[in-house]
Amino acid sequence: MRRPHQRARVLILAHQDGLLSAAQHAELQAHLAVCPDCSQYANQIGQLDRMLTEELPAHVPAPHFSDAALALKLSEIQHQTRRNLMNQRISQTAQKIIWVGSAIVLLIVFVLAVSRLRPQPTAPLPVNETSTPATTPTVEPTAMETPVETPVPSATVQTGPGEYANQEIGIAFQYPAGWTASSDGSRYEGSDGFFAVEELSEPAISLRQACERIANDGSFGETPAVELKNVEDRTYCTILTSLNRAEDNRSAVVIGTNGSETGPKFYVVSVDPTHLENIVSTLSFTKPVPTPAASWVVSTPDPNQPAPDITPAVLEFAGLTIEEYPIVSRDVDTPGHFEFNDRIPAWVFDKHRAVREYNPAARVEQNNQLLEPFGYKFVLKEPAENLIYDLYQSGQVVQADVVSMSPISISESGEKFVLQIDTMTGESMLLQEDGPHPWNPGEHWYIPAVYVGNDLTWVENTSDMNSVAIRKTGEVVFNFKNAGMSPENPIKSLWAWGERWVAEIDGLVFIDGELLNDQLGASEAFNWQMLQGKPFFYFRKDGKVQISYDGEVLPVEYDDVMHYQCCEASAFNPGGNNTMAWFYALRDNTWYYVEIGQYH
Amino acid sequence: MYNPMPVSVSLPPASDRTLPVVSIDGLVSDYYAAVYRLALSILGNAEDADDAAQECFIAAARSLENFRYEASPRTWLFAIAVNGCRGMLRRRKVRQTIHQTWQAVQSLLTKDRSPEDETIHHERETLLWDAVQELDDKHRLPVVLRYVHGCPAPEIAQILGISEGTVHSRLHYARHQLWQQLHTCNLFQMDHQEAPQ
Repeated sequence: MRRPHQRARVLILAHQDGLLSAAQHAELQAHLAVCPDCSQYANQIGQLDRMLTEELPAHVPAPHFSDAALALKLSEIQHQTRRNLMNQRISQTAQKIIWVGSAIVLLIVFVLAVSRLRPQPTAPLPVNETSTPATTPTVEPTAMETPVETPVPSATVQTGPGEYANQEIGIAFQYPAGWTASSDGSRYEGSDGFFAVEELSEPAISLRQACERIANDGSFGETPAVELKNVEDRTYCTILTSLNRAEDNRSAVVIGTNGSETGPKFYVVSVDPTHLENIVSTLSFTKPVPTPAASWVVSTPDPNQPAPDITPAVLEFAGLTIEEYPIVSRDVDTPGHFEFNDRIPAWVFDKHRAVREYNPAARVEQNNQLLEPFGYKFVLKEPAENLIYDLYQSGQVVQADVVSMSPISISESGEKFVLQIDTMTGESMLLQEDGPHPWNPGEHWYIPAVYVGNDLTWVENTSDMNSVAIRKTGEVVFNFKNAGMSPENPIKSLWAWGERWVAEIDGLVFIDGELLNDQLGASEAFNWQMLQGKPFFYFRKDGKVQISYDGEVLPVEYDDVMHYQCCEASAFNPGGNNTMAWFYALRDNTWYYVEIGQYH
Repeated sequence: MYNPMPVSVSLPPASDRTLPVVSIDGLVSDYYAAVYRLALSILGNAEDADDAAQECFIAAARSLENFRYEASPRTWLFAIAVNGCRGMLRRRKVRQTIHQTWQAVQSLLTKDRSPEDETIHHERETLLWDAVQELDDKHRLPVVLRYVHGCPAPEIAQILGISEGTVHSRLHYARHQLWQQLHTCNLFQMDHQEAPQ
C-alpha cells in the first residue's frame, strides 16, 4: 500500500479515539474525498466501533448478586484474609521450636504409655522378628541432575509396584508399573520416563521462595510456568519448562516437609513432563496436618493501665547505638495491630522521633540543594499546608502540582541525576537533567530509577507481571522469573551501592546478580538499606535473625523480626532511613522494640 | 557520595484528608459484581471468574491500608483483577495450549460448515466475540476494558500499567486486526457509506 493510504488508515484509526487535530482531520477528509478504498475502510472501522460498543457487552451479561450472596462473599473474603494474615504471622522459627518440642513430648508420652501397657516379655524376642527393614542405604546415591539438590533415599520405602512413599517428606504417589528404582531408591525410571526425589540443599524460608529459586536455576528456560497448588490443606508447587525450551524438557514438583509452606526442608521431585500429571493427580500426604501449637496472640492494652516502665538494654557497636526495649510477652500480644503501639511509652518513641520520622519538607529541601547546579527548584504553593510544589527551571514552571518525589540519585560524575515525581493528577515522571520524562511506575514494579555509578538503572516487569528485569543503560543485566506468585510486589527495593546495584526480591538479596543469601548461607535476607553510607540488612541463618552492618554482624540475635507484613503496626516494619533503623523483634518469647542508629 | 533511597515515599495528596475511609465491606458491596464481570470477560469461565474476583478482594483487603485514592477504587480493583486474571491465563495456557489449539481448529471448522444454523445477528455477534477472543492478551485486554466495561483510555492505562499512548496504539492495532478478520467474513454493510465526520 502506498504511503498516503497508509497514513490515511493510521488517521482513521486515531479518529475513532478522537485523537486527530483539526489539521489532521482536514487532511483525512481531503484524502477520503478522492479515495474510495480508504473511504470504505473508514466506513467499516466506524461500523466495527459501533458493533463493538453495542454488541460486545451483551456477551458478558451483568451479573446480579443478591445482598445475601454478597454478604457470603464478604464473609469468605474476610475469612481468607484473616487466614492469610495468620499464616504470615506464624514464624518459621516459632513453628520449628514448637513442633520439635511437641514431638519430643509426644514421644516421651508414647514411650511411657507403651512401657506401662505392654506386658514384660519373659524372654527377649529374636531381633529379626521385630525389626523393620533397614532404611539407610549402604550405596552412595547416583549422580543427580542438578548439583544443588541432594538425593533423598533414606526414609524411602517402596510399598509395592507403582506406588512411591516417602516417610521423611510425608508423601505418596503412583508411578507407572514397570519402572524400576535406583539402588538408593531416590530415582525411578522406565523406558518412557523417570522421576527423582532430592532435597533442596540451598536454604529457603518458604515454599514460594524455594519454587522461585528452582525455577530460576536456568534449567527451566526463559519463562517457566510455576503454579502453587493445594491438596488436603497442604501446598506444593509445580514447575514446567517454558515452551521455547521443548527440546530440553524438565518439570518438577516442589514440596515442603509434610506439605508445609514453611518447610523446614524442601524437596524436589524432578519428573519428565509427560508423567507430571500422573504424579500430581495421585499425590497424597501421609502424615496428619500438623496443628500449629500456638498462633500469634493479639490483645488490646487496657488504656487505664499506664504503660509499663521499661528499661532499654543499650549497646554500642561499630559506631551504632542499639537500644532494645522489652515490650510484652508473646503470650499476651503481637505487633500487627495499631493498639500494640500503645504498649510503648511515649518517651521511647519521642527519643529519636526527630531523626526517625519522615520529614517531607526536609526531603524537598535536600532535593533542592542537590538540584541547584542543574537549575531546577521545587517551590511550595499556597496554601503551604497542602505540600504541593511547582517545579521551576530558569524562572519557568516546567511541572506543576508535584505532590511527591523520591530522593534524588546523582551519577558518579555528578553530571546527571534522576528522581521520580508524582503529580496531583496521578501522573508520574522521571525528572532528569534535560527535563521530565514519562514514567509509568506500574511498568517498573513501583521502584524509581537510580544511578549506579554513571549508569541509569531501573526495574522492569513483563506484561504478565511475572518477572523482574533490571536494566542498566537499557541493557537487561538481570532477570528473575516467576516473581509474580503473589499479589504483593516481589521486588522490594533497588539500591545503588557505589558501582554495584542491589535488589531485594522476596527475601533474596542480589548484588550485581550474585545472591547474597548463598554467600551467607542464609535462608532469608531482607530490608537491605544504606545506613550512613554503609550496607545494613537483616538475615536469617540457622533459624535466627541477625543483622549485618558494614560487613560486621551485630551482637544481637532474634527469633524473628517482623517484616513483609501487610497491616497496621507491622506494615512498615522494619523501618529505616539513612541514619537509623527500627523494628519489632522477638527473642525468648518477648517482643522488643529496637532502634539502631548512628546519631552523632 | 550521595546515597539514594530508592523507595519512593509519597507525600499524601492534600485531598486525602477529606476522602472517605475505604472498607472492604464497601468495596465488595459496590464492586464485586463489576470485578466478577471483568474476570468473566477475560477468563470466559464462571468458576474461574469467581475465583479471580475473590482473590482480587483478598489482595485488596491486604493492601487496603496503602490505598490513597491515587486511582478510583474501581480502577484499583480492576488493576488487581487484571493481574490476577493474567496469572490464571498464563497458567492455563501452559497446560491447555494443545487443547485450545484443537478447540480453535474445531470451532473454525464448525463455523465454515454450518453458519446457516444461526440467525444473522447472532452469527455476527458470535463472530465478533470470537474475533476478539482470538486477539492476543496484549490487544484483547484493552478492547475488553474499552468496549465491554466502558473504561476510558486513561483508566485502561492505569489498570494495565501502560501509558495512554500505548493504550491507543493497542486499540488501533486491535481494531485493524478485527477489521482484517471480519472483512473476510463480509460482516460489514456495503451500502451504508459513512466517512468520519
